Amino acid sequence: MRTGISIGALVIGLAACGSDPRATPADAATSADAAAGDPVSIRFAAKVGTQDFACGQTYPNLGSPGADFRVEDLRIYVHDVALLGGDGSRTALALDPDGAFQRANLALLDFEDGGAGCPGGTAATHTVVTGRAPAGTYTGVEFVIGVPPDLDHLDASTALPPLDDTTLWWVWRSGYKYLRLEGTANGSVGFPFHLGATGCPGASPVSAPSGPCAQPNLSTVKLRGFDPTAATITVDAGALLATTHLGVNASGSAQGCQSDPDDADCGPVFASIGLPFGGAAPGPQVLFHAP
Amino acid sequence: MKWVVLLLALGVAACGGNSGTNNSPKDAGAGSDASMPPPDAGADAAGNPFASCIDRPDQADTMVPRPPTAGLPCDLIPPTALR
Repeated sequence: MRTGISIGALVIGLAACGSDPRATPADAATSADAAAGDPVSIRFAAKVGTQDFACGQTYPNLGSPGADFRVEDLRIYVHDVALLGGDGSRTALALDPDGAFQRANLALLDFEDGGAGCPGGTAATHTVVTGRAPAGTYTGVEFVIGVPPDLDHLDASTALPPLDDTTLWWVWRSGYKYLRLEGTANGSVGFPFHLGATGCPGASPVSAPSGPCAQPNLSTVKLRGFDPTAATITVDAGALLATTHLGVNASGSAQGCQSDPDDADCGPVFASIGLPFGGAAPGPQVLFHAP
Repeated sequence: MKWVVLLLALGVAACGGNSGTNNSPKDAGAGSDASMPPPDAGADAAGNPFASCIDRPDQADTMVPRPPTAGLPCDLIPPTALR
Protein backbone atom coordinates (compact mmCIF):
# COMPACT_ATOMS: atom_id res chain seq x y z
CA MET A 1 0.00 0.00 0.00
CA ARG A 2 2.76 2.36 0.99
CA THR A 3 4.61 1.56 -2.20
CA GLY A 4 1.56 2.36 -4.29
CA ILE A 5 1.04 5.70 -2.61
CA SER A 6 4.71 6.54 -3.00
CA ILE A 7 4.77 5.76 -6.69
CA GLY A 8 1.63 7.80 -7.15
CA ALA A 9 3.20 10.77 -5.44
CA LEU A 10 6.27 10.51 -7.63
CA VAL A 11 4.12 10.38 -10.74
CA ILE A 12 2.20 13.46 -9.63
CA GLY A 13 5.42 15.28 -8.97
CA LEU A 14 6.88 14.37 -12.34
CA ALA A 15 3.64 15.37 -14.07
CA ALA A 16 4.58 18.94 -13.30
CA CYS A 17 7.28 18.47 -15.92
CA GLY A 18 4.72 17.74 -18.62
CA SER A 19 4.42 21.30 -19.88
CA ASP A 20 7.30 23.47 -20.93
CA PRO A 21 7.56 26.32 -18.45
CA ARG A 22 8.32 28.64 -21.34
CA ALA A 23 4.93 27.97 -22.91
CA THR A 24 2.26 30.63 -22.63
CA PRO A 25 -1.51 30.24 -22.25
CA ALA A 26 -1.72 30.87 -26.00
CA ASP A 27 0.44 27.80 -26.61
CA ALA A 28 -1.84 25.59 -24.54
CA ALA A 29 -4.98 26.92 -26.20
CA THR A 30 -3.58 26.36 -29.66
CA SER A 31 -2.49 22.81 -28.87
CA ALA A 32 -6.06 22.00 -27.88
CA ASP A 33 -7.53 23.69 -30.96
CA ALA A 34 -5.09 21.96 -33.30
CA ALA A 35 -6.59 18.60 -32.46
CA ALA A 36 -9.86 19.48 -34.17
CA GLY A 37 -10.76 20.27 -37.76
CA ASP A 38 -9.38 19.32 -41.15
CA PRO A 39 -5.75 19.85 -42.10
CA VAL A 40 -5.13 23.10 -43.97
CA SER A 41 -1.99 24.30 -45.71
CA ILE A 42 -1.47 27.88 -46.81
CA ARG A 43 1.39 28.27 -49.22
CA PHE A 44 3.57 31.30 -49.74
CA ALA A 45 6.15 32.01 -52.43
CA ALA A 46 8.64 34.86 -52.25
CA LYS A 47 9.24 36.92 -55.34
CA VAL A 48 11.09 40.03 -56.34
CA GLY A 49 8.81 41.39 -59.00
CA THR A 50 8.24 38.54 -61.40
CA GLN A 51 11.33 36.61 -60.38
CA ASP A 52 11.72 34.14 -57.56
CA PHE A 53 13.44 35.40 -54.43
CA ALA A 54 16.91 33.88 -54.17
CA CYS A 55 19.53 34.67 -51.58
CA GLY A 56 22.42 36.65 -53.00
CA GLN A 57 20.72 37.35 -56.32
CA THR A 58 20.82 40.88 -57.66
CA TYR A 59 17.63 42.25 -59.15
CA PRO A 60 17.88 45.23 -61.50
CA ASN A 61 15.87 48.42 -61.39
CA LEU A 62 14.37 47.97 -57.94
CA GLY A 63 12.91 50.88 -56.00
CA SER A 64 12.55 54.45 -57.14
CA PRO A 65 14.76 55.58 -58.71
CA GLY A 66 15.75 52.10 -59.78
CA ALA A 67 18.78 50.40 -58.28
CA ASP A 68 20.48 47.06 -58.59
CA PHE A 69 19.52 45.32 -55.38
CA ARG A 70 21.07 42.14 -54.01
CA VAL A 71 18.72 40.45 -51.53
CA GLU A 72 20.17 38.93 -48.39
CA ASP A 73 17.26 38.05 -46.10
CA LEU A 74 13.50 37.70 -46.02
CA ARG A 75 11.70 36.49 -42.92
CA ILE A 76 8.27 37.53 -41.68
CA TYR A 77 6.29 36.70 -38.56
CA VAL A 78 2.54 36.41 -39.06
CA HIS A 79 -0.18 35.66 -36.56
CA ASP A 80 -3.93 35.24 -36.17
CA VAL A 81 -4.32 33.46 -39.48
CA ALA A 82 -7.96 33.07 -40.46
CA LEU A 83 -9.84 31.71 -43.43
CA LEU A 84 -12.47 33.96 -44.95
CA GLY A 85 -15.75 32.76 -46.37
CA GLY A 86 -17.66 34.25 -49.23
CA ASP A 87 -20.44 35.12 -46.81
CA GLY A 88 -18.13 37.33 -44.80
CA SER A 89 -17.38 34.71 -42.18
CA ARG A 90 -13.99 34.45 -40.53
CA THR A 91 -12.68 31.11 -39.30
CA ALA A 92 -9.52 31.00 -37.23
CA LEU A 93 -6.85 28.58 -38.37
CA ALA A 94 -5.47 26.62 -35.42
CA LEU A 95 -1.80 26.35 -36.27
CA ASP A 96 0.11 23.11 -35.85
CA PRO A 97 2.84 23.71 -33.27
CA ASP A 98 5.95 22.25 -34.91
CA GLY A 99 8.69 23.17 -32.51
CA ALA A 100 10.44 25.19 -35.16
CA PHE A 101 8.39 27.70 -37.14
CA GLN A 102 4.92 27.63 -35.62
CA ARG A 103 3.81 28.22 -32.09
CA ALA A 104 0.49 29.25 -30.57
CA ASN A 105 -1.15 31.56 -33.11
CA LEU A 106 2.20 32.62 -34.56
CA ALA A 107 4.19 31.45 -37.58
CA LEU A 108 7.49 32.51 -39.04
CA LEU A 109 7.67 32.65 -42.82
CA ASP A 110 11.29 32.05 -43.68
CA PHE A 111 12.29 32.42 -47.32
CA GLU A 112 16.04 32.67 -46.90
CA ASP A 113 18.19 29.58 -46.96
CA GLY A 114 21.35 30.95 -45.43
CA GLY A 115 24.65 30.40 -47.16
CA ALA A 116 26.84 33.11 -48.57
CA GLY A 117 23.84 34.84 -50.12
CA CYS A 118 22.00 35.27 -46.84
CA PRO A 119 24.74 35.20 -44.19
CA GLY A 120 22.40 36.16 -41.36
CA GLY A 121 20.08 33.24 -41.94
CA THR A 122 19.96 29.48 -41.81
CA ALA A 123 19.43 26.67 -44.30
CA ALA A 124 15.95 25.83 -43.05
CA THR A 125 13.01 27.55 -44.70
CA HIS A 126 9.31 27.69 -43.94
CA THR A 127 6.92 28.67 -46.69
CA VAL A 128 3.80 26.69 -45.84
CA VAL A 129 1.68 27.53 -42.81
CA THR A 130 -0.19 24.48 -41.58
CA GLY A 131 -3.09 24.12 -39.22
CA ARG A 132 -6.63 22.88 -38.85
CA ALA A 133 -10.00 24.41 -39.56
CA PRO A 134 -13.54 23.17 -40.05
CA ALA A 135 -14.34 21.91 -43.51
CA GLY A 136 -15.84 24.65 -45.63
CA THR A 137 -15.60 26.78 -48.72
CA TYR A 138 -13.09 29.51 -48.20
CA THR A 139 -12.46 32.39 -50.56
CA GLY A 140 -9.78 34.35 -48.79
CA VAL A 141 -7.36 34.60 -45.93
CA GLU A 142 -6.53 37.12 -43.24
CA PHE A 143 -3.51 37.43 -41.00
CA VAL A 144 -1.49 40.02 -39.17
CA ILE A 145 2.12 40.80 -40.00
CA GLY A 146 4.08 40.77 -36.75
CA VAL A 147 4.26 39.17 -33.33
CA PRO A 148 1.24 39.54 -31.04
CA PRO A 149 1.92 41.80 -28.07
CA ASP A 150 1.67 38.96 -25.56
CA LEU A 151 4.56 37.17 -27.26
CA ASP A 152 6.53 40.19 -28.42
CA HIS A 153 8.62 40.86 -25.35
CA LEU A 154 10.12 37.52 -24.40
CA ASP A 155 13.75 36.66 -23.86
CA ALA A 156 14.89 35.47 -27.27
CA SER A 157 17.78 33.58 -25.72
CA THR A 158 15.38 31.25 -23.92
CA ALA A 159 12.08 31.57 -25.78
CA LEU A 160 10.47 28.68 -27.62
CA PRO A 161 10.79 28.58 -31.41
CA PRO A 162 10.16 30.46 -33.59
CA LEU A 163 10.86 33.23 -31.09
CA ASP A 164 14.34 31.98 -30.24
CA ASP A 165 16.17 33.62 -33.13
CA THR A 166 18.16 36.52 -31.76
CA THR A 167 18.71 37.89 -35.25
CA LEU A 168 14.99 38.65 -35.28
CA TRP A 169 15.02 40.42 -31.97
CA TRP A 170 16.05 43.83 -30.67
CA VAL A 171 15.67 43.92 -26.90
CA TRP A 172 12.90 42.95 -24.50
CA ARG A 173 11.24 46.32 -24.40
CA SER A 174 11.06 46.72 -28.16
CA GLY A 175 10.66 43.03 -28.88
CA TYR A 176 11.00 41.22 -32.15
CA LYS A 177 11.67 42.27 -35.71
CA TYR A 178 8.40 41.29 -37.32
CA LEU A 179 9.89 41.41 -40.74
CA ARG A 180 13.49 41.27 -41.84
CA LEU A 181 14.19 42.10 -45.46
CA GLU A 182 17.78 42.95 -46.21
CA GLY A 183 19.84 43.73 -49.22
CA THR A 184 22.51 45.88 -50.78
CA ALA A 185 21.83 48.52 -53.41
CA ASN A 186 24.23 49.22 -56.22
CA GLY A 187 26.85 47.02 -54.62
CA SER A 188 27.52 49.25 -51.65
CA VAL A 189 24.49 50.73 -49.89
CA GLY A 190 22.98 48.40 -47.33
CA PHE A 191 19.23 48.57 -47.00
CA PRO A 192 17.77 46.51 -44.17
CA PHE A 193 14.07 46.82 -43.48
CA HIS A 194 13.36 45.72 -39.93
CA LEU A 195 9.76 46.17 -38.92
CA GLY A 196 8.80 46.09 -35.26
CA ALA A 197 7.08 47.91 -32.46
CA THR A 198 8.49 51.24 -31.30
CA GLY A 199 7.69 53.69 -28.57
CA CYS A 200 7.40 50.93 -25.99
CA PRO A 201 7.32 52.47 -22.49
CA GLY A 202 9.49 51.35 -19.62
CA ALA A 203 12.43 52.37 -17.53
CA SER A 204 14.88 49.90 -19.03
CA PRO A 205 15.31 48.43 -22.51
CA VAL A 206 16.16 45.10 -20.93
CA SER A 207 12.82 44.75 -19.25
CA ALA A 208 9.42 44.13 -20.74
CA PRO A 209 7.51 47.31 -21.48
CA SER A 210 5.32 48.76 -18.80
CA GLY A 211 2.44 49.32 -21.20
CA PRO A 212 1.37 49.13 -24.83
CA CYS A 213 3.84 50.35 -27.43
CA ALA A 214 2.94 53.69 -29.01
CA GLN A 215 3.53 52.27 -32.48
CA PRO A 216 2.70 48.57 -32.45
CA ASN A 217 3.20 48.54 -36.21
CA LEU A 218 0.99 45.50 -36.76
CA SER A 219 -0.47 45.36 -40.23
CA THR A 220 -3.52 43.26 -41.07
CA VAL A 221 -3.56 41.60 -44.45
CA LYS A 222 -6.80 40.52 -46.12
CA LEU A 223 -6.69 38.68 -49.41
CA ARG A 224 -9.90 37.64 -51.13
CA GLY A 225 -11.11 36.01 -54.27
CA PHE A 226 -9.19 32.75 -54.21
CA ASP A 227 -9.04 29.43 -52.42
CA PRO A 228 -6.37 29.94 -49.77
CA THR A 229 -6.10 26.22 -49.15
CA ALA A 230 -5.12 25.49 -52.73
CA ALA A 231 -3.46 28.55 -54.23
CA THR A 232 -0.10 30.09 -53.42
CA ILE A 233 0.15 33.58 -51.96
CA THR A 234 2.88 35.75 -53.42
CA VAL A 235 5.20 37.70 -51.14
CA ASP A 236 6.66 40.36 -53.39
CA ALA A 237 9.68 42.11 -51.96
CA GLY A 238 9.96 44.13 -55.15
CA ALA A 239 6.51 45.62 -54.67
CA LEU A 240 7.30 46.43 -51.06
CA LEU A 241 10.39 48.39 -52.08
CA ALA A 242 8.97 49.88 -55.29
CA THR A 243 8.71 53.44 -53.98
CA THR A 244 11.87 53.41 -51.84
CA HIS A 245 15.10 55.12 -52.82
CA LEU A 246 17.37 52.19 -52.06
CA GLY A 247 20.58 53.79 -53.24
CA VAL A 248 20.63 56.61 -50.69
CA ASN A 249 20.20 56.48 -46.95
CA ALA A 250 18.58 59.40 -45.18
CA SER A 251 21.27 61.47 -43.52
CA GLY A 252 21.99 60.64 -39.92
CA SER A 253 19.63 57.71 -39.80
CA ALA A 254 20.22 54.03 -39.34
CA GLN A 255 20.73 52.00 -42.47
CA GLY A 256 17.58 51.38 -44.42
CA CYS A 257 14.45 51.45 -42.31
CA GLN A 258 14.57 50.00 -38.85
CA SER A 259 11.19 51.36 -37.83
CA ASP A 260 12.54 54.55 -36.32
CA PRO A 261 9.61 57.03 -36.43
CA ASP A 262 12.11 59.75 -37.28
CA ASP A 263 13.76 57.89 -40.16
CA ALA A 264 12.55 59.27 -43.49
CA ASP A 265 13.59 56.01 -45.16
CA CYS A 266 10.67 54.34 -43.44
CA GLY A 267 7.89 56.34 -45.04
CA PRO A 268 7.67 54.48 -48.36
CA VAL A 269 8.04 50.96 -46.94
CA PHE A 270 5.59 51.61 -44.13
CA ALA A 271 3.02 52.84 -46.63
CA SER A 272 3.62 49.79 -48.79
CA ILE A 273 3.03 47.43 -45.92
CA GLY A 274 -0.16 49.16 -44.86
CA LEU A 275 1.07 51.12 -41.88
CA PRO A 276 0.88 54.82 -41.03
CA PHE A 277 4.12 56.68 -40.70
CA GLY A 278 4.52 60.13 -39.29
CA GLY A 279 1.48 62.05 -40.41
CA ALA A 280 0.98 59.90 -43.48
CA ALA A 281 -1.96 57.57 -43.70
CA PRO A 282 -1.22 53.95 -44.56
CA GLY A 283 -1.47 52.85 -48.12
CA PRO A 284 -2.80 49.48 -49.18
CA GLN A 285 -0.28 46.78 -48.36
CA VAL A 286 1.39 45.41 -51.47
CA LEU A 287 3.77 42.85 -50.00
CA PHE A 288 1.28 39.97 -50.09
CA HIS A 289 -1.04 39.36 -52.95
CA ALA A 290 -3.39 36.65 -54.04
CA PRO A 291 -2.75 34.72 -57.25
CA MET B 1 3.62 9.68 4.85
CA LYS B 2 7.09 11.21 4.99
CA TRP B 3 8.02 9.07 2.00
CA VAL B 4 5.08 10.43 0.07
CA VAL B 5 6.07 14.01 0.74
CA LEU B 6 9.69 13.29 -0.09
CA LEU B 7 8.90 11.62 -3.40
CA LEU B 8 6.47 14.39 -4.34
CA ALA B 9 9.19 16.90 -3.70
CA LEU B 10 11.69 14.88 -5.72
CA GLY B 11 9.33 14.76 -8.65
CA VAL B 12 8.85 18.51 -8.67
CA ALA B 13 12.55 19.11 -8.18
CA ALA B 14 13.24 17.04 -11.30
CA CYS B 15 11.61 19.79 -13.31
CA GLY B 16 14.68 21.88 -12.85
CA GLY B 17 13.17 24.44 -10.58
CA ASN B 18 12.00 26.72 -13.34
CA SER B 19 8.58 27.66 -12.14
CA GLY B 20 8.12 30.65 -14.40
CA THR B 21 5.29 30.57 -16.86
CA ASN B 22 7.01 32.86 -19.24
CA ASN B 23 10.33 34.44 -19.93
CA SER B 24 11.05 37.23 -17.56
CA PRO B 25 13.63 39.68 -18.78
CA LYS B 26 13.90 41.06 -15.31
CA ASP B 27 15.14 37.68 -14.20
CA ALA B 28 17.99 37.78 -16.64
CA GLY B 29 20.30 38.52 -13.79
CA ALA B 30 23.40 40.59 -13.53
CA GLY B 31 24.71 41.79 -16.80
CA SER B 32 21.35 42.81 -18.16
CA ASP B 33 21.67 46.29 -16.81
CA ALA B 34 21.11 48.86 -19.48
CA SER B 35 23.75 51.03 -17.87
CA MET B 36 26.48 48.56 -18.75
CA PRO B 37 29.10 50.12 -20.98
CA PRO B 38 29.15 49.67 -24.73
CA PRO B 39 31.79 47.43 -26.22
CA ASP B 40 35.34 48.67 -26.14
CA ALA B 41 36.13 49.36 -29.74
CA GLY B 42 39.80 49.02 -28.99
CA ALA B 43 39.53 45.59 -27.47
CA ASP B 44 40.88 42.47 -29.07
CA ALA B 45 38.14 41.09 -31.27
CA ALA B 46 39.25 37.51 -30.61
CA GLY B 47 37.01 36.15 -27.91
CA ASN B 48 35.26 39.45 -27.52
CA PRO B 49 31.51 38.96 -27.32
CA PHE B 50 31.08 42.27 -29.10
CA ALA B 51 33.29 41.40 -32.02
CA SER B 52 30.35 41.22 -34.38
CA CYS B 53 29.48 44.77 -33.42
CA ILE B 54 33.01 46.00 -33.77
CA ASP B 55 33.25 44.39 -37.16
CA ARG B 56 30.53 46.60 -38.54
CA PRO B 57 32.04 50.06 -38.38
CA ASP B 58 29.85 51.13 -41.29
CA GLN B 59 26.90 51.08 -38.93
CA ALA B 60 28.63 52.26 -35.80
CA ASP B 61 27.64 55.88 -36.25
CA THR B 62 23.92 55.24 -36.42
CA MET B 63 23.42 52.00 -34.50
CA VAL B 64 24.13 51.06 -30.91
CA PRO B 65 25.15 47.75 -29.35
CA ARG B 66 22.42 45.73 -27.75
CA PRO B 67 22.74 45.92 -23.98
CA PRO B 68 24.92 42.97 -23.02
CA THR B 69 23.11 40.07 -21.48
CA ALA B 70 24.24 36.55 -20.81
CA GLY B 71 23.38 34.18 -23.61
CA LEU B 72 22.85 36.77 -26.29
CA PRO B 73 25.19 37.48 -29.16
CA CYS B 74 26.07 41.05 -29.72
CA ASP B 75 24.04 42.90 -32.26
CA LEU B 76 23.80 46.45 -33.37
CA ILE B 77 20.29 47.74 -32.91
CA PRO B 78 18.62 51.02 -33.76
CA PRO B 79 18.65 53.62 -31.00
CA THR B 80 14.87 53.60 -31.25
CA ALA B 81 14.89 50.19 -29.62
CA LEU B 82 16.47 51.68 -26.54
CA ARG B 83 14.40 54.83 -26.27
